[in-house]
Order: sequence, then structure tokens, then C-alpha cells
Amino acid sequence: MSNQRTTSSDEDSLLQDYSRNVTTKSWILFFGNAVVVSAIPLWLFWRIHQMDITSYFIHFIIGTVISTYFLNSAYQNMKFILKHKIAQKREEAVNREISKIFANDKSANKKDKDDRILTRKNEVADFEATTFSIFYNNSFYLVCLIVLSFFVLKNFSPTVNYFFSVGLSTAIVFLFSTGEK
Amino acid sequence: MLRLVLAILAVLAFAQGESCESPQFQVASYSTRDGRLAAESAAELEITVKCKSGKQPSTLYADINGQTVPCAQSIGSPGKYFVSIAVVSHKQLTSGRTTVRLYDDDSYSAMRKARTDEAVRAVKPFGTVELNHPGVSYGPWLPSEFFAVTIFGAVWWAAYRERSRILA
Repeated sequence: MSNQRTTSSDEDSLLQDYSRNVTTKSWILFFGNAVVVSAIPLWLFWRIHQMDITSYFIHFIIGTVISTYFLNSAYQNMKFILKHKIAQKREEAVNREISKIFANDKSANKKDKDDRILTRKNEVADFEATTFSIFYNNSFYLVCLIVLSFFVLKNFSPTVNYFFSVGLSTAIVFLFSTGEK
Repeated sequence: MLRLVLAILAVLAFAQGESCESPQFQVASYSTRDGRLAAESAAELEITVKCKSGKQPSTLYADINGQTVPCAQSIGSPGKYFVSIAVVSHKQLTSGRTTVRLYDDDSYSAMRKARTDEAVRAVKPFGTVELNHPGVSYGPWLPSEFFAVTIFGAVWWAAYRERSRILA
């Protein structure tokens, strides 16, 4: 019975590694970042495009909520793609690091060592994929936003400019987050 | 009798026409700065004259680049004289410091009487002030959004290269 439970927990952890679901910690990090980055354009439209914040309160809330949702999804998609690639690239280094720790410990068996390597590799890949996904998507989102709001839609009214630049930027970032090229 | 009356009147007139001695000038000026918002350039000088005797010149004339115009005055602020310059294009208002020569009634009539340019130049003006026009600005050479896009574009490009390297 106990053996069966261990196996199931192992399987759970394996499934977790290969699923698109993220841990609560990662989710909070993604969500917090998405909120902050979605709120950046508010300043741009408030101070530079002269949209009064009290008059356009509803527009700003709708735009921010939509862009937060899609940015959050984009972060998760990209993290899922990057994580396994990063894990493959870091495997050798992690192997070396753990082997060094286990070199003096003669009593340790191979299974323990392999487990440690797997856990460490997942930790490293998870952290790198999370941070890189946030960085890449943020920079891509801001470039799209500036190009759309200042160059493509500059002759439209501020309301149209806001909705289209925020909407299209998040849509582009979301679409490209699933690509593997 | 008539001569006596005239003589008294002349003395009175002389006493009334007490001139302003060692005047001090304070200038506040405004000139067009933004070439994108305005089609024509304009400048205005507000000259405050302080005389030792406390008597202000009744009229003041300003000579700007050879053109003499009477200064405007306001009842509300005695001792202040206003001159404005309007030109058709921005380039006509010379940037830098322009000397404005001021004439009171006496020196103005002396200047009017002068026949030659040399004689005009020889007339001692009531005082001189300077108009400082820094020139018209047309905004920065490259717009700020261009810089924003270039910087963010460079950051994104670096991130894109890194992503391609990871996914390769």
C-alpha cells in the first residue's frame, strides 16, 4: 500500500514536471509581473496621449484585465516550451555538480544520486524558464506597444489607440509565445 | 506785459520739464520659443525705468534695428514701458542679444532733427537695454519615441537571440 502511494506521488511529481500547470509560487510571480507590465501603458496614455484617468477609468480597467490575462498565459506557454530545452542544456552541468557532492559519500546509492540530479535539474530549469519567459515576453510586449501606439495608430483617437495597441500587443505576444522558432 | 506773462510761462514750463536723471532700467522680455506651435515670431519687452528724481519720462521711444516706435504705457503701472516686435517669419527675429536704444522726448526730437546718419548716431540716447532672444526651437532632432523604440527593440532583439539559442 505504502509502496503504491510512493509510486503515485512520484508519478504526480513527474506529471507536474511535464504539465502546463505552474506551481503557486510561479503563478504569483507571473501574475504580479503581468499586472505591473499591463499597468505601464496607463502612464503612457494618461500623461502622453492625454487621456484623463477619471474619464477613461472603465477603459483602463478593461484593457489592463485583458492584457494581464493574456500576458499571464503567454508567460506560462513560453515557460513550458523553454523548461525542457533548458533542462537538456543544463543536464551535464548539474550532473557534474551533484557528482562532486556525492564523490566523497561512498554509502550513497545510485538511485539517490539520480533523484538528486533530476530534482536539481528541474529546479534550475524551472527558475531559468520562469525568469526568461517573463523577460522575453515583457520586452516583446513593450516593443509592440510602442510601435503600435506611437507609429501605427498615432493618428487615431486616444481611446481607439489604447484599445488596439494594448489588445494587438497582447494578442501578438500570446500568439508568438506558443511558437518554437 | 505780454512778455512778462510769456517769461513766467516759460519758467513754469522749464520747472515742469524737469528731466529724469541717471535712469536705471530693468527689462523683462518674452520671445517666441516654439517654432512648431507658432507661424510667426514675436517679442515683447517690459522696461521698468527708475529715475533718481522720481520723475518718469512722459513718453519713451524705442529704436530696434533702426526702426523707432513709441513705447506703450499702462496707467496701472507707472514707470513701465512696453515694446513689442512682430515679424513675418522666425528668421527675421535675430537670435542672440539685440540692443534697443531708448529715447525720451528731448533726445527723440534731437534725433528727428539730425539730418545725416552720423548726426543720428551722435545723438545720445536716454538709455539702452538688451533683448535676449535665444532663438526658435523646432524640437529635438530625433523624436523621443524613436529612442524608446530603439532601446526596447535592442533589448527585445537580445532576448530573441537568447531564446533562439535555447530553443535551437
